[in-house]
Amino acid sequence: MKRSRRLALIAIGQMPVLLAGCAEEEKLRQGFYTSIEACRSDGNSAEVCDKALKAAADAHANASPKYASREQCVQDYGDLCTERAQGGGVWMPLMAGFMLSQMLGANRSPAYVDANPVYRDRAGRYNERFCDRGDVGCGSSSGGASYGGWRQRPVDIAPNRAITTTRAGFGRSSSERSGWGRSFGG
Amino acid sequence: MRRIPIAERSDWRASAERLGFHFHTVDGAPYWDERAYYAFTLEQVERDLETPTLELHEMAMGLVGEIVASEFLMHRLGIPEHYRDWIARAWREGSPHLYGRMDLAYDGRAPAKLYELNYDTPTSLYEAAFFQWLWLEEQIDRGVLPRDADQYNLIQENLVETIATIAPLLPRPLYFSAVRDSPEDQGTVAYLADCAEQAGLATRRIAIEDIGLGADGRYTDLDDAPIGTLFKLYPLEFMFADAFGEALPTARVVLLEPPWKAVLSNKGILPLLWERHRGHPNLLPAFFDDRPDLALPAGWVRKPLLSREGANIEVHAGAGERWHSDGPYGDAPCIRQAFHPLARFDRGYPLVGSWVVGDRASGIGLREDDSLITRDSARFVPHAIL
Repeated sequence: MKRSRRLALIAIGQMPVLLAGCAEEEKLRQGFYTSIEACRSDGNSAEVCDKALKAAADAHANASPKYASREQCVQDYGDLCTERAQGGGVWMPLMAGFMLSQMLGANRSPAYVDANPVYRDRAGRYNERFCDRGDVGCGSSSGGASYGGWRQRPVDIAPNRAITTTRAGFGRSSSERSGWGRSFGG
Repeated sequence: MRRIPIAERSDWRASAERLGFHFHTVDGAPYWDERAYYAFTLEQVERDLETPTLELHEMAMGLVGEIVASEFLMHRLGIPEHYRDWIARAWREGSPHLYGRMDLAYDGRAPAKLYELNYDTPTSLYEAAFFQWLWLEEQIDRGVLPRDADQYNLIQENLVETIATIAPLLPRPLYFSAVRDSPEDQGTVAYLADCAEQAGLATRRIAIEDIGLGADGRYTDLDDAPIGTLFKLYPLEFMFADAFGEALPTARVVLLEPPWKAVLSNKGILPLLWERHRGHPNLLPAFFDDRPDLALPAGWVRKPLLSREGANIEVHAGAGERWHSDGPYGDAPCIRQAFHPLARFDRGYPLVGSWVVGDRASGIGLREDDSLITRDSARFVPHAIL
Protein backbone atom coordinates (compact mmCIF):
# COMPACT_ATOMS: atom_id res chain seq x y z
CA MET A 1 0.00 0.00 0.00
CA LYS A 2 1.34 3.42 -0.96
CA ARG A 3 -0.94 5.37 1.35
CA SER A 4 -1.49 5.72 5.08
CA ARG A 5 -3.98 3.37 6.69
CA ARG A 6 -5.52 6.03 8.85
CA LEU A 7 -5.33 9.75 9.30
CA ALA A 8 -6.90 12.12 11.75
CA LEU A 9 -7.35 15.76 12.48
CA ILE A 10 -7.44 16.65 16.13
CA ALA A 11 -7.74 20.40 16.27
CA ILE A 12 -9.20 21.69 13.05
CA GLY A 13 -12.68 20.82 12.03
CA GLN A 14 -14.08 20.52 15.51
CA MET A 15 -13.79 24.04 16.76
CA PRO A 16 -12.71 27.29 15.21
CA VAL A 17 -9.01 27.80 15.70
CA LEU A 18 -8.35 31.08 17.40
CA LEU A 19 -5.31 33.13 16.62
CA ALA A 20 -3.04 33.87 19.53
CA GLY A 21 -3.93 37.01 21.33
CA CYS A 22 -7.66 36.74 20.93
CA ALA A 23 -8.18 35.28 24.38
CA GLU A 24 -9.24 37.91 26.88
CA GLU A 25 -8.50 36.26 30.18
CA GLU A 26 -6.46 37.93 32.86
CA LYS A 27 -2.76 37.34 32.67
CA LEU A 28 0.10 37.94 35.04
CA ARG A 29 2.73 39.97 33.31
CA GLN A 30 6.16 39.90 34.84
CA GLY A 31 9.11 42.05 33.97
CA PHE A 32 12.65 41.86 35.26
CA TYR A 33 14.37 45.24 35.23
CA THR A 34 17.84 46.33 36.15
CA SER A 35 16.91 50.01 36.32
CA ILE A 36 14.01 52.43 36.59
CA GLU A 37 14.73 53.50 33.01
CA ALA A 38 14.44 49.95 31.69
CA CYS A 39 11.16 49.58 33.57
CA ARG A 40 9.76 52.77 32.06
CA SER A 41 10.88 52.03 28.56
CA ASP A 42 9.03 48.72 28.77
CA GLY A 43 5.81 50.69 28.75
CA ASN A 44 5.24 50.89 32.50
CA SER A 45 4.26 54.18 34.07
CA ALA A 46 6.84 56.11 36.10
CA GLU A 47 4.59 55.73 39.12
CA VAL A 48 4.49 51.93 38.85
CA CYS A 49 8.25 51.72 38.34
CA ASP A 50 8.99 53.93 41.35
CA LYS A 51 6.60 51.93 43.48
CA ALA A 52 8.17 48.66 42.34
CA LEU A 53 11.71 49.81 43.03
CA LYS A 54 10.77 51.06 46.48
CA ALA A 55 8.99 47.80 47.37
CA ALA A 56 11.92 45.73 46.14
CA ALA A 57 14.46 47.92 47.95
CA ASP A 58 12.45 47.66 51.20
CA ALA A 59 12.34 43.87 50.89
CA HIS A 60 16.06 43.90 50.14
CA ALA A 61 16.81 45.94 53.25
CA ASN A 62 14.68 43.72 55.45
CA ALA A 63 15.16 40.34 54.01
CA SER A 64 18.20 40.02 51.76
CA PRO A 65 20.42 37.00 52.34
CA LYS A 66 22.90 37.89 55.08
CA TYR A 67 26.31 36.54 55.92
CA ALA A 68 28.67 36.85 58.86
CA SER A 69 31.73 37.34 56.68
CA ARG A 70 32.66 38.64 53.29
CA GLU A 71 34.10 35.25 52.32
CA GLN A 72 30.82 33.50 52.90
CA CYS A 73 28.95 36.05 50.82
CA VAL A 74 31.52 35.87 48.01
CA GLN A 75 31.06 32.13 47.92
CA ASP A 76 27.47 32.68 46.74
CA TYR A 77 27.56 36.07 45.07
CA GLY A 78 31.12 36.68 43.93
CA ASP A 79 32.22 40.29 44.10
CA LEU A 80 28.65 41.60 44.25
CA CYS A 81 28.85 41.69 48.05
CA THR A 82 28.69 44.63 50.37
CA GLU A 83 28.82 45.26 54.08
CA ARG A 84 25.64 46.51 55.70
CA ALA A 85 25.83 50.24 56.34
CA GLN A 86 24.20 50.22 59.76
CA GLY A 87 25.78 47.69 62.02
CA GLY A 88 28.92 46.40 60.36
CA GLY A 89 30.02 42.82 60.29
CA VAL A 90 27.01 41.75 58.26
CA TRP A 91 27.49 41.08 54.57
CA MET A 92 24.85 40.93 51.86
CA PRO A 93 24.64 40.79 48.05
CA LEU A 94 23.86 43.90 46.08
CA MET A 95 20.43 44.10 44.54
CA ALA A 96 20.86 43.51 40.79
CA GLY A 97 17.36 44.48 39.78
CA PHE A 98 13.73 43.89 40.56
CA MET A 99 10.89 41.73 39.38
CA LEU A 100 7.62 43.58 38.78
CA SER A 101 4.34 41.64 38.61
CA GLN A 102 1.19 43.16 37.20
CA MET A 103 -2.20 41.75 36.30
CA LEU A 104 -3.31 42.40 32.74
CA GLY A 105 -6.99 42.59 31.94
CA ALA A 106 -8.78 42.90 28.65
CA ASN A 107 -9.95 46.47 28.82
CA ARG A 108 -8.03 48.20 31.55
CA SER A 109 -4.53 49.29 32.35
CA PRO A 110 -2.22 46.84 34.15
CA ALA A 111 -2.74 46.51 37.90
CA TYR A 112 0.31 46.50 40.18
CA VAL A 113 0.62 43.28 42.19
CA ASP A 114 4.05 43.31 43.83
CA ALA A 115 7.77 43.64 43.26
CA ASN A 116 10.72 41.66 44.62
CA PRO A 117 14.48 42.09 44.69
CA VAL A 118 16.64 40.11 42.26
CA TYR A 119 20.23 39.01 42.93
CA ARG A 120 22.88 37.82 40.55
CA ASP A 121 24.79 34.84 41.86
CA ARG A 122 28.41 33.99 41.33
CA ALA A 123 27.62 31.88 38.24
CA GLY A 124 25.77 34.81 36.65
CA ARG A 125 22.29 33.43 37.29
CA TYR A 126 19.56 35.75 38.48
CA ASN A 127 17.38 34.81 41.43
CA GLU A 128 14.27 36.49 42.67
CA ARG A 129 13.76 36.65 46.45
CA PHE A 130 10.10 36.33 47.26
CA CYS A 131 7.85 35.81 50.22
CA ASP A 132 6.36 32.35 50.17
CA ARG A 133 3.73 33.12 52.80
CA GLY A 134 1.52 35.42 50.78
CA ASP A 135 -1.37 35.23 53.25
CA VAL A 136 0.44 36.17 56.45
CA GLY A 137 3.51 37.92 55.11
CA CYS A 138 7.16 37.35 55.90
CA GLY A 139 9.38 38.76 58.59
CA SER A 140 12.78 40.26 58.24
CA SER A 141 15.58 37.87 57.56
CA SER A 142 18.93 37.39 59.10
CA GLY A 143 19.55 34.01 57.56
CA GLY A 144 20.93 32.78 54.28
CA ALA A 145 19.14 31.54 51.22
CA SER A 146 15.79 30.92 52.86
CA TYR A 147 14.50 32.24 56.14
CA GLY A 148 11.29 33.52 57.67
CA GLY A 149 9.26 32.58 54.64
CA TRP A 150 11.65 34.20 52.19
CA ARG A 151 12.76 31.97 49.37
CA GLN A 152 14.60 32.30 46.12
CA ARG A 153 13.73 31.10 42.67
CA PRO A 154 15.61 31.47 39.41
CA VAL A 155 14.51 34.25 37.08
CA ASP A 156 13.63 32.60 33.80
CA ILE A 157 13.23 35.73 31.74
CA ALA A 158 15.99 37.89 30.38
CA PRO A 159 16.69 41.17 32.18
CA ASN A 160 14.69 44.07 30.78
CA ARG A 161 13.03 41.34 28.86
CA ALA A 162 11.24 41.18 25.57
CA ILE A 163 10.20 44.75 25.49
CA THR A 164 8.18 44.75 22.33
CA THR A 165 9.03 48.11 20.92
CA THR A 166 7.45 47.70 17.51
CA ARG A 167 5.15 45.45 15.56
CA ALA A 168 4.13 44.98 11.95
CA GLY A 169 7.73 44.72 10.79
CA PHE A 170 6.79 41.67 8.77
CA GLY A 171 4.09 41.69 6.14
CA ARG A 172 5.01 44.56 3.87
CA SER A 173 6.32 42.32 1.10
CA SER A 174 3.05 40.40 0.99
CA SER A 175 0.85 43.48 1.09
CA GLU A 176 2.79 44.97 -1.81
CA ARG A 177 1.97 41.88 -3.79
CA SER A 178 -1.62 41.47 -2.70
CA GLY A 179 -3.83 40.96 -5.70
CA TRP A 180 -1.35 38.45 -7.08
CA GLY A 181 -2.59 35.08 -6.09
CA ARG A 182 -4.33 33.85 -2.98
CA SER A 183 -1.32 32.40 -1.29
CA PHE A 184 2.04 33.83 -0.39
CA GLY A 185 3.44 30.34 -0.44
CA GLY A 186 3.40 28.67 -3.79
CA MET B 1 -1.50 7.89 -16.58
CA ARG B 2 -5.06 8.70 -17.52
CA ARG B 3 -7.58 11.38 -16.70
CA ILE B 4 -10.83 9.67 -15.80
CA PRO B 5 -14.14 11.44 -15.22
CA ILE B 6 -15.89 10.29 -12.03
CA ALA B 7 -18.99 11.21 -10.05
CA GLU B 8 -18.40 13.80 -7.35
CA ARG B 9 -19.23 12.80 -3.80
CA SER B 10 -22.54 14.51 -3.21
CA ASP B 11 -21.47 15.66 0.27
CA TRP B 12 -17.90 16.74 -0.36
CA ARG B 13 -18.57 20.44 0.13
CA ALA B 14 -20.10 19.79 3.54
CA SER B 15 -17.14 17.57 4.44
CA ALA B 16 -14.70 20.24 3.32
CA GLU B 17 -16.43 22.89 5.42
CA ARG B 18 -16.55 20.60 8.43
CA LEU B 19 -12.88 19.63 8.08
CA GLY B 20 -11.38 23.07 7.82
CA PHE B 21 -10.98 23.16 4.01
CA HIS B 22 -12.52 26.58 3.53
CA PHE B 23 -10.73 27.46 0.31
CA HIS B 24 -12.16 24.61 -1.77
CA THR B 25 -13.92 27.12 -4.01
CA VAL B 26 -12.45 30.50 -4.88
CA ASP B 27 -14.59 33.33 -6.22
CA GLY B 28 -17.16 30.80 -7.40
CA ALA B 29 -14.59 28.75 -9.34
CA PRO B 30 -13.64 25.27 -8.15
CA TYR B 31 -10.21 24.84 -6.62
CA TRP B 32 -10.83 21.33 -5.32
CA ASP B 33 -12.16 19.55 -8.41
CA GLU B 34 -13.19 15.90 -8.09
CA ARG B 35 -15.17 15.62 -11.30
CA ALA B 36 -12.19 13.66 -12.60
CA TYR B 37 -9.10 12.00 -11.23
CA TYR B 38 -5.71 10.97 -12.56
CA ALA B 39 -5.01 7.24 -12.58
CA PHE B 40 -1.42 5.97 -12.41
CA THR B 41 0.03 2.50 -12.47
CA LEU B 42 2.15 1.49 -9.48
CA GLU B 43 5.15 1.34 -11.79
CA GLN B 44 4.58 4.92 -12.97
CA VAL B 45 4.42 6.09 -9.36
CA GLU B 46 7.44 4.20 -8.10
CA ARG B 47 9.75 4.32 -11.11
CA ASP B 48 8.83 7.68 -12.62
CA LEU B 49 7.86 9.80 -9.60
CA GLU B 50 8.95 8.41 -6.23
CA THR B 51 12.47 7.32 -7.18
CA PRO B 52 13.34 10.48 -9.16
CA THR B 53 11.92 12.66 -6.37
CA LEU B 54 14.29 11.15 -3.85
CA GLU B 55 17.18 11.39 -6.29
CA LEU B 56 16.49 15.04 -7.15
CA HIS B 57 16.11 15.85 -3.46
CA GLU B 58 19.46 14.30 -2.66
CA MET B 59 21.12 16.11 -5.57
CA ALA B 60 19.70 19.41 -4.34
CA MET B 61 20.66 18.79 -0.71
CA GLY B 62 24.12 17.83 -1.91
CA LEU B 63 24.56 21.33 -3.32
CA VAL B 64 23.58 23.30 -0.22
CA GLY B 65 26.89 22.97 1.62
CA GLU B 66 28.84 24.14 -1.41
CA ILE B 67 26.54 27.09 -2.10
CA VAL B 68 26.44 28.44 1.45
CA ALA B 69 30.25 28.26 1.64
CA SER B 70 30.63 30.36 -1.51
CA GLU B 71 30.18 34.14 -1.58
CA PHE B 72 30.07 33.93 -5.36
CA LEU B 73 27.22 31.42 -5.50
CA MET B 74 25.25 33.20 -2.76
CA HIS B 75 25.60 36.36 -4.82
CA ARG B 76 24.46 34.51 -7.94
CA LEU B 77 21.33 33.42 -6.13
CA GLY B 78 20.64 37.01 -5.14
CA ILE B 79 20.92 36.35 -1.42
CA PRO B 80 21.51 39.63 0.40
CA GLU B 81 24.93 39.89 2.02
CA HIS B 82 23.49 40.57 5.45
CA TYR B 83 21.98 37.06 5.63
CA ARG B 84 24.74 34.93 4.14
CA ASP B 85 26.67 34.04 7.29
CA TRP B 86 23.47 33.34 9.14
CA ILE B 87 22.29 30.99 6.39
CA ALA B 88 25.66 29.22 6.31
CA ARG B 89 25.67 28.85 10.08
CA ALA B 90 22.16 27.37 10.10
CA TRP B 91 23.28 24.79 7.56
CA ARG B 92 26.47 23.89 9.42
CA GLU B 93 24.62 23.58 12.70
CA GLY B 94 22.06 21.26 11.16
CA SER B 95 19.05 23.54 11.59
CA PRO B 96 16.16 21.10 11.00
CA HIS B 97 13.77 21.16 8.07
CA LEU B 98 10.32 19.75 7.63
CA TYR B 99 9.06 19.61 4.09
CA GLY B 100 9.20 20.70 0.48
CA ARG B 101 7.43 20.16 -2.81
CA MET B 102 9.01 19.75 -6.21
CA ASP B 103 7.02 20.42 -9.34
CA LEU B 104 7.38 17.80 -12.05
CA ALA B 105 6.17 17.75 -15.65
CA TYR B 106 5.07 14.18 -16.35
CA ASP B 107 2.99 12.62 -19.10
CA GLY B 108 2.97 8.95 -18.04
CA ARG B 109 5.68 7.95 -20.51
CA ALA B 110 8.79 10.13 -20.69
CA PRO B 111 10.91 10.78 -17.57
CA ALA B 112 9.44 13.42 -15.27
CA LYS B 113 11.20 16.77 -15.61
CA LEU B 114 11.89 19.07 -12.68
CA TYR B 115 10.30 22.50 -13.15
CA GLU B 116 11.30 23.89 -9.78
CA LEU B 117 11.66 23.30 -6.06
CA ASN B 118 9.16 24.88 -3.67
CA TYR B 119 11.23 24.25 -0.60
CA ASP B 120 10.52 27.26 1.58
CA THR B 121 6.76 27.87 1.62
CA PRO B 122 5.07 25.03 -0.25
CA THR B 123 1.28 25.10 -0.26
CA SER B 124 -1.50 22.81 -1.55
CA LEU B 125 -0.49 20.64 1.38
CA TYR B 126 -3.75 20.00 3.20
CA GLU B 127 -5.58 19.06 0.03
CA ALA B 128 -2.81 16.68 -1.07
CA ALA B 129 -2.11 15.12 2.31
CA PHE B 130 -5.55 14.90 3.84
CA PHE B 131 -8.53 15.75 1.66
CA GLN B 132 -7.23 13.73 -1.30
CA TRP B 133 -6.75 10.73 0.98
CA LEU B 134 -10.29 11.11 2.32
CA TRP B 135 -11.62 11.24 -1.24
CA LEU B 136 -10.02 7.89 -2.08
CA GLU B 137 -11.21 6.20 1.11
CA GLU B 138 -14.78 7.41 0.60
CA GLN B 139 -14.88 6.57 -3.10
CA ILE B 140 -13.73 3.03 -2.25
CA ASP B 141 -16.24 2.72 0.62
CA ARG B 142 -19.07 3.84 -1.64
CA GLY B 143 -18.12 1.35 -4.33
CA VAL B 144 -17.21 4.01 -6.87
CA LEU B 145 -13.56 2.97 -6.97
CA PRO B 146 -12.42 -0.67 -6.68
CA ARG B 147 -11.35 -2.11 -3.30
CA ASP B 148 -7.76 -2.40 -4.40
CA ALA B 149 -7.45 1.20 -5.58
CA ASP B 150 -4.56 2.94 -3.83
CA GLN B 151 -2.90 6.33 -3.66
CA TYR B 152 0.68 7.51 -3.32
CA ASN B 153 0.23 9.44 -0.10
CA LEU B 154 2.13 9.13 3.16
CA ILE B 155 2.43 12.89 3.44
CA GLN B 156 0.57 13.48 6.70
CA GLU B 157 1.91 10.38 8.39
CA ASN B 158 5.45 11.47 7.57
CA LEU B 159 4.75 15.05 8.65
CA VAL B 160 3.63 13.94 12.11
CA GLU B 161 6.58 11.58 12.42
CA THR B 162 9.11 14.16 11.26
CA ILE B 163 7.79 16.83 13.62
CA ALA B 164 8.06 14.38 16.51
CA THR B 165 11.63 13.57 15.45
CA ILE B 166 12.82 17.18 15.26
CA ALA B 167 10.83 18.32 18.33
CA PRO B 168 13.90 18.33 20.63
CA LEU B 169 15.52 20.89 18.31
CA LEU B 170 12.59 23.30 18.48
CA PRO B 171 12.69 25.81 21.37
CA ARG B 172 9.26 26.60 22.80
CA PRO B 173 6.91 28.24 22.42
CA LEU B 174 6.31 26.98 18.91
CA TYR B 175 4.36 29.41 16.75
CA PHE B 176 2.69 28.83 13.38
CA SER B 177 2.35 31.97 11.33
CA ALA B 178 0.96 33.17 7.99
CA VAL B 179 -0.34 36.36 6.44
CA ARG B 180 -3.50 37.33 8.30
CA ASP B 181 -5.75 37.88 5.30
CA SER B 182 -4.88 34.80 3.26
CA PRO B 183 -7.49 32.16 4.14
CA GLU B 184 -5.57 29.60 2.11
CA ASP B 185 -2.30 30.18 3.97
CA GLN B 186 -4.12 30.34 7.30
CA GLY B 187 -5.72 26.99 6.40
CA THR B 188 -2.33 25.48 5.63
CA VAL B 189 -0.74 26.58 8.91
CA ALA B 190 -3.80 25.42 10.86
CA TYR B 191 -3.28 22.03 9.28
CA LEU B 192 0.44 21.95 10.06
CA ALA B 193 -0.27 22.99 13.64
CA ASP B 194 -2.72 20.10 13.81
CA CYS B 195 0.02 17.73 12.65
CA ALA B 196 2.33 19.14 15.34
CA GLU B 197 -0.37 18.62 17.99
CA GLN B 198 -0.67 15.04 16.81
CA ALA B 199 3.08 14.74 17.33
CA GLY B 200 2.50 15.82 20.93
CA LEU B 201 3.66 19.42 20.70
CA ALA B 202 1.80 22.41 22.09
CA THR B 203 1.30 24.96 19.33
CA ARG B 204 0.29 28.58 19.09
CA ARG B 205 -0.59 30.81 16.17
CA ILE B 206 0.14 34.41 15.31
CA ALA B 207 -0.36 36.48 12.17
CA ILE B 208 2.88 37.48 10.45
CA GLU B 209 1.86 41.11 10.85
CA ASP B 210 1.44 40.73 14.63
CA ILE B 211 4.96 39.55 15.33
CA GLY B 212 6.82 42.06 17.48
CA LEU B 213 10.49 42.85 17.89
CA GLY B 214 11.70 43.21 21.45
CA ALA B 215 14.38 45.54 22.71
CA ASP B 216 16.57 42.49 23.30
CA GLY B 217 16.39 41.68 19.60
CA ARG B 218 14.04 38.73 19.87
CA TYR B 219 10.76 38.34 18.02
CA THR B 220 7.79 38.47 20.36
CA ASP B 221 4.20 37.31 20.51
CA LEU B 222 1.21 39.42 21.49
CA ASP B 223 2.08 38.96 25.17
CA ASP B 224 5.60 40.27 24.53
CA ALA B 225 7.04 36.85 25.25
CA PRO B 226 9.90 35.71 23.02
CA ILE B 227 9.09 33.30 20.18
CA GLY B 228 11.23 30.17 20.38
CA THR B 229 10.39 28.51 17.08
CA LEU B 230 8.57 30.18 14.23
CA PHE B 231 7.00 28.13 11.47
CA LYS B 232 6.38 30.81 8.88
CA LEU B 233 4.38 30.30 5.70
CA TYR B 234 5.95 33.51 4.48
CA PRO B 235 8.85 33.51 2.05
CA LEU B 236 12.32 34.06 3.44
CA GLU B 237 13.02 36.66 0.79
CA PHE B 238 9.97 38.63 1.93
CA MET B 239 11.32 38.52 5.47
CA PHE B 240 14.70 39.73 4.20
CA ALA B 241 13.05 42.71 2.54
CA ASP B 242 10.77 43.60 5.47
CA ALA B 243 11.69 45.97 8.27
CA PHE B 244 12.21 43.21 10.86
CA GLY B 245 14.35 41.10 8.54
CA GLU B 246 17.56 42.72 9.61
CA ALA B 247 17.12 41.25 13.09
CA LEU B 248 16.85 37.65 11.83
CA PRO B 249 20.52 36.67 12.27
CA THR B 250 20.54 37.76 15.92
CA ALA B 251 16.96 36.99 16.95
CA ARG B 252 17.77 33.58 18.48
CA VAL B 253 14.71 32.09 16.80
CA VAL B 254 14.52 28.71 15.12
CA LEU B 255 12.79 29.10 11.76
CA LEU B 256 10.86 26.48 9.88
CA GLU B 257 11.60 26.16 7.09
CA PRO B 258 15.21 26.96 8.08
CA PRO B 259 17.28 29.82 6.62
CA TRP B 260 19.24 27.54 4.29
CA LYS B 261 16.06 26.82 2.33
CA ALA B 262 16.71 30.22 0.74
CA VAL B 263 19.21 28.56 -1.58
CA LEU B 264 16.88 25.73 -2.59
CA SER B 265 13.65 27.67 -2.98
CA ASN B 266 15.37 29.77 -5.58
CA LYS B 267 15.34 29.10 -9.29
CA GLY B 268 19.09 29.64 -9.35
CA ILE B 269 19.35 26.09 -8.01
CA LEU B 270 18.17 24.86 -11.45
CA PRO B 271 21.21 26.01 -13.46
CA LEU B 272 23.48 24.83 -10.64
CA LEU B 273 21.89 21.38 -10.70
CA TRP B 274 22.27 21.31 -14.47
CA GLU B 275 25.94 22.30 -14.22
CA ARG B 276 26.67 19.46 -11.78
CA HIS B 277 24.42 16.82 -13.33
CA ARG B 278 24.27 17.75 -17.00
CA GLY B 279 22.13 15.33 -18.97
CA HIS B 280 20.32 13.86 -15.97
CA PRO B 281 17.03 12.45 -17.30
CA ASN B 282 14.91 14.38 -14.78
CA LEU B 283 16.57 17.76 -15.31
CA LEU B 284 15.92 20.35 -17.98
CA PRO B 285 18.84 22.38 -19.34
CA ALA B 286 18.98 25.63 -17.37
CA PHE B 287 21.26 28.67 -17.28
CA PHE B 288 21.55 31.95 -15.47
CA ASP B 289 20.06 34.62 -17.69
CA ASP B 290 22.49 37.48 -17.39
CA ARG B 291 20.84 39.53 -20.12
CA PRO B 292 17.11 39.55 -19.44
CA ASP B 293 16.92 42.68 -21.59
CA LEU B 294 17.60 40.57 -24.67
CA ALA B 295 14.80 38.72 -26.43
CA LEU B 296 14.40 35.14 -25.27
CA PRO B 297 15.53 32.61 -27.91
CA ALA B 298 13.01 30.06 -29.16
CA GLY B 299 12.53 26.98 -27.02
CA TRP B 300 13.20 28.68 -23.68
CA VAL B 301 11.33 29.84 -20.61
CA ARG B 302 12.48 32.74 -18.48
CA LYS B 303 11.70 32.71 -14.76
CA PRO B 304 12.72 35.16 -12.03
CA LEU B 305 15.00 33.68 -9.35
CA LEU B 306 12.19 34.22 -6.89
CA SER B 307 8.60 34.10 -7.99
CA ARG B 308 5.54 32.20 -6.98
CA GLU B 309 2.36 30.77 -8.43
CA GLY B 310 3.52 31.11 -12.01
CA ALA B 311 4.01 34.88 -11.93
CA ASN B 312 6.32 36.72 -14.35
CA ILE B 313 7.05 33.69 -16.53
CA GLU B 314 8.04 34.36 -20.13
CA VAL B 315 7.79 31.54 -22.66
CA HIS B 316 9.19 31.39 -26.15
CA ALA B 317 7.98 28.13 -27.61
CA GLY B 318 9.23 27.02 -31.00
CA ALA B 319 7.69 28.37 -34.20
CA GLY B 320 7.59 31.96 -32.98
CA GLU B 321 4.96 31.36 -30.30
CA ARG B 322 5.47 33.51 -27.24
CA TRP B 323 3.50 34.38 -24.19
CA HIS B 324 4.09 35.58 -20.70
CA SER B 325 2.34 35.87 -17.37
CA ASP B 326 2.16 39.11 -15.42
CA GLY B 327 3.17 39.41 -11.86
CA PRO B 328 4.81 41.42 -9.14
CA TYR B 329 8.33 40.06 -9.52
CA GLY B 330 9.29 41.95 -12.69
CA ASP B 331 12.52 43.54 -11.50
CA ALA B 332 14.38 40.42 -10.38
CA PRO B 333 17.29 38.51 -11.97
CA CYS B 334 16.25 35.49 -14.02
CA ILE B 335 17.17 32.05 -15.18
CA ARG B 336 16.41 30.36 -18.48
CA GLN B 337 15.10 26.83 -18.60
CA ALA B 338 14.52 24.70 -21.72
CA PHE B 339 10.87 24.81 -22.80
CA HIS B 340 9.22 21.52 -21.95
CA PRO B 341 5.44 21.90 -22.15
CA LEU B 342 3.06 20.11 -19.82
CA ALA B 343 1.17 17.26 -21.43
CA ARG B 344 -2.48 17.86 -22.15
CA PHE B 345 -5.07 15.47 -20.77
CA ASP B 346 -8.57 16.21 -22.00
CA ARG B 347 -9.07 19.81 -21.01
CA GLY B 348 -6.27 20.26 -18.51
CA TYR B 349 -2.53 20.55 -18.17
CA PRO B 350 -1.55 18.71 -14.98
CA LEU B 351 1.54 19.52 -12.95
CA VAL B 352 2.70 16.93 -10.42
CA GLY B 353 3.62 18.30 -7.01
CA SER B 354 5.85 15.68 -5.40
CA TRP B 355 6.24 16.02 -1.63
CA VAL B 356 9.40 15.45 0.34
CA VAL B 357 8.88 15.25 4.09
CA GLY B 358 11.91 14.95 6.35
CA ASP B 359 14.06 13.75 3.41
CA ARG B 360 11.55 11.09 2.37
CA ALA B 361 9.61 11.10 -0.90
CA SER B 362 6.10 11.00 0.55
CA GLY B 363 3.34 11.46 -2.00
CA ILE B 364 1.92 13.60 -4.79
CA GLY B 365 -0.81 16.12 -5.54
CA LEU B 366 -1.81 17.28 -9.01
CA ARG B 367 -2.83 20.77 -9.99
CA GLU B 368 -4.39 21.23 -13.37
CA ASP B 369 -4.65 24.50 -15.26
CA ASP B 370 -6.30 25.43 -18.55
CA SER B 371 -3.00 26.83 -19.76
CA LEU B 372 0.62 25.72 -19.91
CA ILE B 373 1.57 27.97 -17.00
CA THR B 374 0.25 26.60 -13.72
CA ARG B 375 -1.13 29.62 -11.89
CA ASP B 376 -3.19 30.14 -8.80
CA SER B 377 -6.25 29.47 -11.00
CA ALA B 378 -5.18 25.82 -11.21
CA ARG B 379 -7.55 23.17 -9.82
CA PHE B 380 -6.47 20.46 -7.45
CA VAL B 381 -7.47 17.09 -8.96
CA PRO B 382 -7.10 13.88 -6.90
CA HIS B 383 -5.24 10.80 -8.06
CA ALA B 384 -5.40 7.04 -7.58
CA ILE B 385 -3.18 4.07 -8.29
CA LEU B 386 -5.10 1.45 -10.27
